[in-house]
Parts: sequence; structure tokens; C-alpha cells
Amino acid sequence: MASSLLTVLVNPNAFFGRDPPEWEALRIPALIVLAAALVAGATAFLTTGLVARIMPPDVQQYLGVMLVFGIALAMVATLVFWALWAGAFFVISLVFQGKGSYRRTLAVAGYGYLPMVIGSVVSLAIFWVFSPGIHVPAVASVEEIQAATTALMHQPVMILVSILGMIFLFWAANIWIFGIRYARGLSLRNAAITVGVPVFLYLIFMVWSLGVFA
Amino acid sequence: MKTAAILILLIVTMGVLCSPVSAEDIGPRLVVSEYRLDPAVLMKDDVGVLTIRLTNSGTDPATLNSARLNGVEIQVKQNPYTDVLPIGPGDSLSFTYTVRTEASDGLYYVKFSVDYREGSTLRYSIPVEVDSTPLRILVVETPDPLAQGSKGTYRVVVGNPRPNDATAVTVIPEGEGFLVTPSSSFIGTLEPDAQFPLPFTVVPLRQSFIRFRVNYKNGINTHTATVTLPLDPSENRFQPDLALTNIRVTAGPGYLRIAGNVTNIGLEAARAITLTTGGDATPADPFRVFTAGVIEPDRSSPFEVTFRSPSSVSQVPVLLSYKDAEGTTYTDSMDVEFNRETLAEQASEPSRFITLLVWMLVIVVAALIIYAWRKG
Repeated sequence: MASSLLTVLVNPNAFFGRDPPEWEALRIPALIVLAAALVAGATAFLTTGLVARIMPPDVQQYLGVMLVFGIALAMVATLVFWALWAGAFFVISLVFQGKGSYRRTLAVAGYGYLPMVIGSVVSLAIFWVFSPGIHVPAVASVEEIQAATTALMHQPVMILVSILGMIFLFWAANIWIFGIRYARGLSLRNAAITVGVPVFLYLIFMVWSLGVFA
Repeated sequence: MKTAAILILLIVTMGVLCSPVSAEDIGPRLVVSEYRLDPAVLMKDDVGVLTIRLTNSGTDPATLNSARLNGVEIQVKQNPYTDVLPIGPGDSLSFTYTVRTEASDGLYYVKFSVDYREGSTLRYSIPVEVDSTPLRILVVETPDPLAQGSKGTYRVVVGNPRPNDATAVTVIPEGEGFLVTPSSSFIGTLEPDAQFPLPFTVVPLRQSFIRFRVNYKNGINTHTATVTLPLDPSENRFQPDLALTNIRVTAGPGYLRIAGNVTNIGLEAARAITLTTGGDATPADPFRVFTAGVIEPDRSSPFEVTFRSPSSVSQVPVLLSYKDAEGTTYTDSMDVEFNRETLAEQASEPSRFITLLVWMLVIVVAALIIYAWRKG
């Protein structure tokens, strides 16, 4: 299995082009996405702790609730995004007369999470080291929370984590392109467009969230 | 001639043998055998206790009707003895009177009068000396120079110019704006013309006065004498003096760090040096306190202290504490300002290693993608 996962990362074309297509089974993609969800939960734990420091003292007493909510939200969001990525690929590939079930697309989307798990672990390690030194301005009113959050997102470590996310998203996109090619029976060009459109939109969203367009 | 001489001798002998026996020779004979005044010499406004011992040195008992003590300059505070008292031959009785004087120095007399039934009246004058000379307290040595915050020794001498003992002699330094050890010294009894030297170690903190008070007793009477000196300390020209230079404030994970050099710009070595942060800052690991043993004059030592502080704080005091060779402690503080936002960015600024790692990741991912497309 380890060699298979390495093949996904290094040579996705060979992995998805195997006959019979063992990758159709959802067990391994589901485990990969679950691992991603766990790492996302850990990241949410740190991020929520950081954001809680912004909040007024009367809100900070609900830190425990905020942590549980943040972790749960991050894990559920990872699972939902898995389905959304697969849905986007499935719908867009319909334009190119793509064939193949949504289940196959879902499996491909799950394998694409493998580099994102690696990226999330690296980001988590960096975040773990640098988050104690992040300056969190005191917030007295709700109006100031937006400004404080924006300031937080502009911290160098936050930008670095976002950049890492983009790098690993490119890697994931590469896997998705070859996977969708086989899952939906598309040409490499059409598969690239199918994957490229939502990925490009997501990249724009990530850059926007960093406040580059602000 | 010879007959005349014998006749004269006979007449003289007869005269002696036939003369009557006097009453004193055969009755009671009262004498003041002893008296004692405590204190032996009174001072003005002092109260003393005069004890008189009356002895019947005669052969017969006597019955006393009254015993009185009278004085003019020396006032007798107690009523006379008016009880009828018998006193046998060879016996003694003691009479105790409380006396007080407001008189100036001199020698005065009180009269002791005893009426007794068998005779007439015994009158006896007792001298009472009044000398109001107090104990002398002298400062024989003062520190030179008297430096602020530095120890100096005052040598005090207590002398007794009085003709009698002074008891319970205690010397107490008084005043504010200085530290002194010992806080008081007990001498006890000081005999006439005796003196007792005492050292007091004083650390002046500001311009002030120091008063040495000697308390003593003359009998049961408490007296005091003082000597007051101005305490005008000058700046210690030789004391160690530390300055912080080349200050740098940086941020670490979870704390802020103040680093720089601590330089001794004084003329004496600074010892037992400690630096830490105060005010709103909370000293934090790894360098809560910086310590150094000795920094010689014109020498410096790098230092580093770490702390945490609320986000609103942009200035913290660095507290210095050091000692000179005599162990005198000096304290000082220096405010260090910093910009929290800049430091926060520093704190979360990835190191060059991390940046390099990210670029390597970019290259690796790019290589993998190119490899995958070539294979595809």
C-alpha cells in the first residue's frame, strides 16, 4: 500500500492507469481524507486558541466550547470539501461528455488529499513553533474583531502557511488531473480544465483571504 | 605645805565622789547611726529616698513620740512618723522619707528631729547634694566622606561627669532618611568619670539629621541627653555605577527578550549583579534573571533577560541591583521601549531555514508535477 501511495504522489498517471482499477475502492481515499480531517482538527485547535486571545474576556470564558466547535467544524468541513471537490469535477467533466460514476470521481478526489495531508502536517509543525510569538492585539468591541482577524491573517507565519497550502494544492491538482482523466474517461487536456477551473477559483479565494486584494 | 597639799587633794577627791550622776549616763541615748540617700546626688526635679537609722546607744529603753524630717530647698514628700515607738537599748529603727528638690546645684540640709519621752529632742542635720549635670554624649568620629547609600561609622562616647552612678544607660540613634545598626545600644551602669565608646553604622539615604539620645536613670528618675548632627551625604564618587548600552529587544516564541551590555561606569567594582524586568512585565524563562559576579570599572558584560507582558505594554523597566565591596546594595532601573507590532512580526517571521525549506518544497512539487506529466 505504501508503494501505491508513493506512486500516487510521484506518478499518478501510472497509478490511475492500472488495470484493473484498484483505486476505485473508497476505503483508502476515505482513510486519507480522515487523516486530513484529523490534521485539520489539530490546526483548528491552535487557530481557535489564537483567535480566542483576540476576543473580549467575557467571550474567552467560552474557550472550551469554541475549541470543540472549531475542531468539529474543521473536520466536518474537510469531509464536505471532499464531496464538493468531487462534485465540481463531476459536473465540469459533464461538459466534456465525461463518463464514469460519481463514486470513481470521489475516490480520485480522496487520493488528491494525500499531498494535502503532508502539507497540513508541515503547516501544523510551523504553526506550532511560531504561534506563541504571534502578537494578538486586545479587542474591546465586536467591531474590532474584524480588524484584529485581518491583522492576524497578515502575520508572516499565517502567510507562509497559506503559501504551503497552495503548493500542496498544486500537487493535489496534479493527482486529480490524472485521476479524473481515467475516472471520467477524458483527454488529458479536458481533465486539466476540469480540475483547473475549481482549483483556480479556490486559489483566488485563498489569495483573497490573505487580503491581497484588500 | 605638805599638809596643805594633802588637804587640796582630799577636797578634790571628795568633790568628784560626791557630784550627782547625769540622766544621759544612765538613761537612753539616741543617735543617728546611719543615713542613706538614693540617689546619692539629686538632680533638679528628682525624687530621692532618704533612709535614716536611729540607734539607742544608751542603757535604758526610750519611747519616741515623733520623728520628723524638714527641709527648705529639699521638700519632704512623706508625712512624719507620729506613732509612739519604743526603742530598746542597743536597738535601731529605720525611718524612710521621700524627698524631692527643685533647687539648683548646691549642698542643702534637711533636719531630722526626734522627740522622745525620756529626754528632750534629738536634732540632726543631713546634707543633701544637688547636682544637675547630665551625662555627656559626644560624637568623636564621623565618616568622611559620608556617601549616600554607603555605610559610614559614627563613633559616640557617653561620659558620666556626675558624682554618682548613672544606671540603665542606653543610647538610641533617632531620625529619618538613614539606616542604622545597631538600632540601640545598652551600656548599663556608668560610674562617675567613666566613659563608654559606641560605634553606629549608618547608611544615609537622603539629606537629614541624626540624633543620638542617651537615656539614663538617677535613682528612680529618668533623664535624657542628646546630640544632633546634620546628615548631609554627598554622592559617592567612587561607587560602582552600572549602565545598560546597546539595548536590543527581540521576540521569541512566547516571550520578549531584552539583550545588551551592562557596563560599569563607576570607579569601584560592581558585585552580585542581578538584572530582571519589573513593572507590567513578568519575567519568563529562559532568562528570568540575569546574574553576574563582578564587573570591574570600565568593563562590560553582555546580558539577556526574557519576559512576558500584556499586549498594551510598550515599555518595561529593567531593574538593576548590585553591591560594592562593602556589601552596600545599590538599585537602579532603566526603561526600555519597544514596538509590539514590529516584534510580533519578528516573532512569527519564519527563519531563513524555513524559507529555504519552502522553496525546496516548491521545487520538489514542481519536479514531481513535471515528472508526472512526462510520464503521462
